[in-house]
Amino acid sequence: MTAVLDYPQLKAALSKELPGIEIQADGSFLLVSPEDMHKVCERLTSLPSIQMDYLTNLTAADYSEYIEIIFHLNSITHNTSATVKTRLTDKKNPKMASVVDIWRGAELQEREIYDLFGVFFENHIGLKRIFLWEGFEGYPLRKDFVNGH
Amino acid sequence: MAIKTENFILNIGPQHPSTHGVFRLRIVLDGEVITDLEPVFGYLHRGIEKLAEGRTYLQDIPFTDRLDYLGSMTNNHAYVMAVEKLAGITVPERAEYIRVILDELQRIASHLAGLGFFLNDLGALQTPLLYMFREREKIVELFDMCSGQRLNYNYYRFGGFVQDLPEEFLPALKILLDTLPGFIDEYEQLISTNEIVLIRTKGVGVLKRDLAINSSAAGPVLRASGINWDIRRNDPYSIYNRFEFDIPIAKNGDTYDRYMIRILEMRQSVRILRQAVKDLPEGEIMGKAPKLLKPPAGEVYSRIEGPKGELGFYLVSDGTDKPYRWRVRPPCLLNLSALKDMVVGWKVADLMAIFGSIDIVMGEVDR
Amino acid sequence: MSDFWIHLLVYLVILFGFVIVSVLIFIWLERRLIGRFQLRPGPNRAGPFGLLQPIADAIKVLIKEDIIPSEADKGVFWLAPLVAFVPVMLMFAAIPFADGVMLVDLNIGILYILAVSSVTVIGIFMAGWSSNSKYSLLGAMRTIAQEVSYEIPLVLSILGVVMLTGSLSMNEIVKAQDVPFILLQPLGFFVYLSAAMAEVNRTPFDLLEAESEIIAGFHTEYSGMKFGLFYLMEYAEVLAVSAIATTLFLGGWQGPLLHPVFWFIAKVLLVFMFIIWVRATLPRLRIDQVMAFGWKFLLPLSLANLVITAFEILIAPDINTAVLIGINIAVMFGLILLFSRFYKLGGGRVSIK
Repeated sequence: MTAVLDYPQLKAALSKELPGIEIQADGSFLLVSPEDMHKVCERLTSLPSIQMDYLTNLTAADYSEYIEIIFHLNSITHNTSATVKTRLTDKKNPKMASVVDIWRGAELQEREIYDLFGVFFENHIGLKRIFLWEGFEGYPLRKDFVNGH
Repeated sequence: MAIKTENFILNIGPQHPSTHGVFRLRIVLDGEVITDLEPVFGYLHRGIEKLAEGRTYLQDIPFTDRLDYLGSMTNNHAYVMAVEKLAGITVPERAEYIRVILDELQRIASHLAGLGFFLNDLGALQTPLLYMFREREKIVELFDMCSGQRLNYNYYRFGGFVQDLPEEFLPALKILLDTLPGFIDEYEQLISTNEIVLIRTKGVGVLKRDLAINSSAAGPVLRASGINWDIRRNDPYSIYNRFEFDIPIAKNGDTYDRYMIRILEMRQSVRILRQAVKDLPEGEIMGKAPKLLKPPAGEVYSRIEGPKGELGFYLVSDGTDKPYRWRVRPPCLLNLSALKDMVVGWKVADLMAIFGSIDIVMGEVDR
Repeated sequence: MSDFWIHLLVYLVILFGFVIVSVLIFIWLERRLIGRFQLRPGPNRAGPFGLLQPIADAIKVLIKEDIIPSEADKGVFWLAPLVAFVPVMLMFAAIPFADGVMLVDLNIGILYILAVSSVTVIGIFMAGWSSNSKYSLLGAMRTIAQEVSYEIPLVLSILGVVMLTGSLSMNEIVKAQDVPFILLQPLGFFVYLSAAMAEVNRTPFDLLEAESEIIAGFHTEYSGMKFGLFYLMEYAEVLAVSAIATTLFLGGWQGPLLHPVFWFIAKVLLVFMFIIWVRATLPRLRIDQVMAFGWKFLLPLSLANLVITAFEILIAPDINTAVLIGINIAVMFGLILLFSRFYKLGGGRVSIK
């Protein structure tokens, strides 16, 4: 069975590595602030006891005050899983650092989030719309995008 | 004196006999050698994720059929399992066994279609394709018996099934299980020792182990690169931990391995099917599920091992009868993340072979 | 003098009729046979057993709209099907249907046929270049490479037969075959058939019009009667290759009891069915593998064949035929097995900076 990591332990291990970052670990996921996300992801892959080398799913959801980016991670070597989230509160210009340099599988999924939600990923290797055509106005998966019917 | 050459940009356009759907690749050629590759997605984008937010959970089941339309039963299973986790519905024993039977039959049918089209891309003018479709036709007829449909089945429901299997199903399935291993051996013998197939696929389009894990590849593509990861074994769902089966793993990660793994997986599916048919219990087939399903607020990510890889559903519920966020983790799209690394340096003919061996269905890539 | 013109006219009509009717029958035969190989009946709606299917195809091709791409080179585009088709028809002038029954009994028969058949390459290249489409251009580039390189093993494999006969005339070659040359020159037959299949773009060498890669290669942009001419040219070329193989290696029109024309047609059908069988079964090779096969495998084999035939003629001209046949077949298998160990079929991945 894939074991879900114990989040308070994970928070402790990460806080020891990176002092000063804000993490919340109450509930079934780890909540990190957008600026620290890249550093946390780097530690999650490099720490030998954690080694989250496989990015299963990277997606976003639009809530009324923020856009939430959700990472589902897996470790193939230890057979464990973890969910890490971050919340972007600036809905006019949401942006965060791209994790393409850590997990290559994030490339197409980040383009999809940019296309459908409008989140800009810094240092991505080619961020442009993936499913909708160039010149499309608006971001369809946001809740304020209502399309006719 | 060096000859002046110019690079040549070719558009393997959306309409092409071997792109498995509407998919566009812009390649830069130097003679026949590919130096750069850019995939363009979106020709089959229907906005399923947004549409699903406006319909109830039950009305979203037909959307899942149309994702990977060659593997409808497994798509249904993944979604139905996710909602059952969210709402806390239990599934009776008989329904779980029937789910395993239908999933494994769907895996065989999907691999037959994938392999047939792969060999078609290599140039064997539809002869292997038609041989494999002969078996796939028998499986599709079985599905037709259950659900009345030949392609988009829409058969699973939350908590089990609405209608039980018809009486003709099990005898026909037993006959199929007796003849199928002979046919799989026939395919392996006719095709795997063919000189031309070997020289066109061995060593071509290698996906290295580390890149496979890093680019989130899944399913046969991941296992062909040597990584022992199958959701049915590592994170068992439904009742897969009661069955005995092997997970075929290959070492090189080339096109031939991806082809061979699918043949071996078909054999293991037959093994699981035999065990499931033997142990199939009697009983009811529908658990307790309310007519209008309003799961409690929360979120779930649940996944199955589909024929193309790890198919996952991420659902967020806000307590109403319509989902708040409905996300599909598409295995075909993520298997394509490393396409450029696999293809650069090979020739145009190899591009088709490599692309065919990844086995994608555009319905899932674009959603 | 008027005898000459009557003879010419009669044979022209016969040859045209023969080629067109045979091509129609071949199209039908190929589609039915490939259907049976693929576990399906093949066309069986148009007429009894689908016999009217090729006529339906011909009518369809004739009434389709003739589309010319706007940027295409119109003169060359228009001429290309003609330049490809006419030499194929010219090839039939020197093929004997029965003893002396041919348009003209050239004493350089086989040389004329080989020379004329090379001109079709120009037609195919003209088609690919003038279409102004990248797919056609890729097909045209592959054409030049493949067809020009396979000319050499083709010619060398025929030289063995010419040496045994002592003459280039096709009729003489048939008459000199008390024992069909396939037994005396098995290696030559193998090399000839492979090289000829590569020349006429049949699977496994059909990458010039590989449907799954470059859609239709050099005739992607053609429609209507021009496409019909290319289609006709392909089957007429296969017919010509089968007829030449029959004449050179299988004993032409010779055979007991029945009329020679019947034997000729039966043998041509046999070779043609073998070519269809190969098409239905094998997948396609890649261009660099095709080049390696032609230059590194067929060419040395045909040269070895030539040298061995020369030895046999000079050193042991009166040897018992059965012993000779046995030696030749053994030598063929030995050489093929030896050569196939020693070379690598095609390059691998090219590293890109």
